[in-house]
Amino acid sequence: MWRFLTRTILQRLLLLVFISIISHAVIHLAPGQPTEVDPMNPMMKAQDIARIRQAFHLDDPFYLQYWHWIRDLFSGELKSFKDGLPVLPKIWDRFCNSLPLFACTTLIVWTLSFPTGIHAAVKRGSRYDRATTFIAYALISVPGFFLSYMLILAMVQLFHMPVIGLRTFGSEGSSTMTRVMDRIWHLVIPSLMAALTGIAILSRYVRSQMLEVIEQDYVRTARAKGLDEDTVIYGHALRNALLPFVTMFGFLLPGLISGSVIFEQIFAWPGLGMLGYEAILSRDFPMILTLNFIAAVLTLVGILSSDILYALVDPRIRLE
Amino acid sequence: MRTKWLLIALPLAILAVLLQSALWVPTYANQAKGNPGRLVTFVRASIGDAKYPNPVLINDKGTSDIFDKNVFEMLLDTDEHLQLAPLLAERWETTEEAYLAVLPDRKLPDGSPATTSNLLAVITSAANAGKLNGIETSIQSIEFAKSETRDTTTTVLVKNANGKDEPVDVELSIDVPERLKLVLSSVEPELFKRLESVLGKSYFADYPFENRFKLKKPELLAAVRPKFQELLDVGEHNPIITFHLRSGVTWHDGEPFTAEDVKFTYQAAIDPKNASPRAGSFDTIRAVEIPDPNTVRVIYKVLYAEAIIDWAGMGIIPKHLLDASAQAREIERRHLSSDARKKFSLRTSEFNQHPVGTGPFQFAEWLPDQYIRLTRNERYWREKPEYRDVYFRVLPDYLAMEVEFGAGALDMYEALPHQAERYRRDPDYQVVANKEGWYTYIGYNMRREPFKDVRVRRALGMAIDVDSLIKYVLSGEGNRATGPYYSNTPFNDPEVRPPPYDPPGAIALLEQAGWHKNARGIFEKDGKPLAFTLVTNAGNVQRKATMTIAQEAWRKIGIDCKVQAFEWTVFLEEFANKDNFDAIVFGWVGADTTPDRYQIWHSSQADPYELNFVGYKSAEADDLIIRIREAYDVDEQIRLARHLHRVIAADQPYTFLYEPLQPKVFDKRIAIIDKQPDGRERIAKITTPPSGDVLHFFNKWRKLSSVPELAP
Repeated sequence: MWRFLTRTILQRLLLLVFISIISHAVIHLAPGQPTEVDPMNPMMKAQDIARIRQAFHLDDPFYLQYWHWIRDLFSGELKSFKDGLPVLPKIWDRFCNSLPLFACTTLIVWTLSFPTGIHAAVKRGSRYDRATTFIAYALISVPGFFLSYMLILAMVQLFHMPVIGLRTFGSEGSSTMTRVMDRIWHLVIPSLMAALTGIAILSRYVRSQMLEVIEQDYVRTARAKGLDEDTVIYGHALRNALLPFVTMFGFLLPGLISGSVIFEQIFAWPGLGMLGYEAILSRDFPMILTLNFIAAVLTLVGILSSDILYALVDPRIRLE
Repeated sequence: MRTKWLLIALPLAILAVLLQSALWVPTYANQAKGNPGRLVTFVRASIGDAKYPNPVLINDKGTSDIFDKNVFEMLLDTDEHLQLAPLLAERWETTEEAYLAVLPDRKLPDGSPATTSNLLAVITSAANAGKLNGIETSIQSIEFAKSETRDTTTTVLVKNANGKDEPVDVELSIDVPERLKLVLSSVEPELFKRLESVLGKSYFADYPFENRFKLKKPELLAAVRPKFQELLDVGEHNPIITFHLRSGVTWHDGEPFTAEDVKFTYQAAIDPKNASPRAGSFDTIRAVEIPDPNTVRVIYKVLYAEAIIDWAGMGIIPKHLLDASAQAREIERRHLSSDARKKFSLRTSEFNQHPVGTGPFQFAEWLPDQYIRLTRNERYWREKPEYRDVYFRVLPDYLAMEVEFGAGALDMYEALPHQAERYRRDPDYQVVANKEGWYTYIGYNMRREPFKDVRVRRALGMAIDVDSLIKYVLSGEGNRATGPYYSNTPFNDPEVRPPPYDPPGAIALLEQAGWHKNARGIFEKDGKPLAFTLVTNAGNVQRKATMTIAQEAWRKIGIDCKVQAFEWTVFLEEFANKDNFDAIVFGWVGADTTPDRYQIWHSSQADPYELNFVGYKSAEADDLIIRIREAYDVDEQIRLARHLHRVIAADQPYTFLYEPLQPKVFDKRIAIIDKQPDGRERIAKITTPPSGDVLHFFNKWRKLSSVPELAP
């Protein structure tokens, strides 16, 4: 186990170095220049632009630029091109904004998908099963931003309720309880919207896993023993059907950065997704690279943790 | 069993907790009650977050809209008629010191050597005889200036190992000869031309400058050579702007504002460490002198009529918070690493998180990607603004803006044309259109066929029904553009007519240019069809619609045009910057106060990464552009600019399409409060001033508790 861990971690670290090199190359080779050195800006003259390029090391060879980035990243000196603020504290601030949205979305997805999926599997072919299948495919097919716009319009036009941003703007004077609830309300709509596709996909997955397990011999044996149906389904079948989902926890992690770009943009939610999107639009290289790097770290950590989790819950698997 | 109930109860419980929060959230109608502070709070939207809130570093309109004139003030303002007006400078005057080199080895027209005394005598007698065409009246004195050695640095672009232009500061010392100094009461661009007629043409020609320059690094000689004449000439114009500063102005932290701050702003802008995007504007300054704490003398090296406008756009920054000793204190306080110390500049200073200016509003807080809050400066030297707080909210999405405006969480928003049309019919709102210098055009790459022929460019323009385009794409929220100057500026020649919408005429013009229709109904010349690609940037709905409409209009008369839209930075990098396109739908914004169009239209600016990307080259236009830059007289500027407008409109390097208005929507209860001298208040409706800036009188805006009754 420990040997496995050390070996994997070392491998992953090496992999991380390669990822960082490749992502650095991809981002610098992609067309487009940071907006700070936009030559289309009539406010600046050629020599001003050249000077800013020099300050940002933009004309250095790639390996030097890579070195500057890595060195500044680990010494904490890395500054955004856009406003000269240090990158890491900025990311941390936005992370704290994104976290509630991410947690709430995940909570809704994971709690809602299981009962709907299991029920559909148990009542296979019933009207309920067909209805949820239809809804699930509809939710997967309709773009999330479209539904979000519809819901925003409905909320504002019909109920006159504010839904944009972290909180209702200008509500500083109200009581603590109202402010807390106001924050929760602003969390509900975007996380529901972000959760819809997740619910649709995950409940389908739960359904097919359950169906597979219900066909197994040991389920028939359990029924033959005379156990009541609920014990068979929830005691015997569900436990075994749950196994593959353990691994999915690991894959949730990178979603922290990439998961909410669209919804944060629509709901003006100042989180990581919006930070990343704005950084890409203005070609803020240090910011894009760092977010990319963190996403890679999270992915690798996620894969590793799902490997370990799998070994913990499934006695048939040993890590060597 | 328990599992089953848990699986059902848990999601229900979570949803219940989440959804009940809706009951606590007040609708906006309730929220405004018992919240009088809301009436003195103004909430604006900004599509993106601010960048560096330091005038020396600002290079984008978004940041400038938030901080310039609100937090930071310039020496001069532009008033509602786009005329320069006093701001931090109470008044200013422009004078000149002109220098004429004494070249004793040259002969004067009468055959005598051009010694100091001979020169002086010739010029004085010509002035007394009135032979200088009116310039003699502005000559106040002629003095003798000793020869001197002038140490200076100049910035040149040198290709580095990768072939990229790299700015290099060249240190050099110039051996300036003995000269005559003419003190003039106003700038006289024609001075040396007049003196030429007195001293003879040869006096000014071919002066051997080279032996007078000593470079620290002689290998850079070739790079500096094009700048020789700028650095030393027989006749040298030194225009001088003297600003008389207002006394009694204080910074937001209470320190007095003085001439030192102005000088420091200049120094910060040209300091290479700060990599200021404004450094280029101050390139032409020889020195900034402060004879007393309330006077600033800016001495220029060359004629540069734009200079005064540069000062009207440059916010002044506080020296006491940013100079070397303040920076040293900040470095100590923040315990920076040695590497960070070395790189420390205005770009990394904490000033960027709490900027301090002299303006009507002071900075209060900034939550990145959420909002920036400014509060009223209670010590403001002029009449204080009516609003107590101004928020700039970051709303990255137009629908989010409309929704928040509808909910009352925004007091003003820049509506899209079709939304504005809707609000215009709504009795609760007022729509006032901003007319900021901004136009959209189709530019043709004149390096390529078929666009080399003006008849083709003209025909392309005649095929498009621009008036319908304005009516349908812009819902009427736009004016016709006819040339490089915006219609609300005096530089625009109102006589210029755009090419008429006339498809048969366009066909006739193409046939005249030697094109004829082939079997497929497409125009052809020498076996080549009239086919090209029109590109623009994605994300701008109006430009995309314009592109499609142009394609359709051209298809109708027999032109094969393909269209493509690319993401902004890709579009710039791959097409505009590399001059790699056939035709382009694009727009220019800003620069409505200045007649200078050097960067966009001068033939020297047509290389890759320069703004004349259509490759427009016209000797007549070049000459006008240079003369506009050197014309200090406003009427002369207007005359030349209108001439330039006509020249460019005749050449049609662009099909000038429209100037979009930017309709701003706000509550009818907001009005302008004019305080009369007798203390009474007059309420006026908000309108677009001639300058086009709806927010020009923002400091007088007040939200009333009911819709005011206004006299018609």
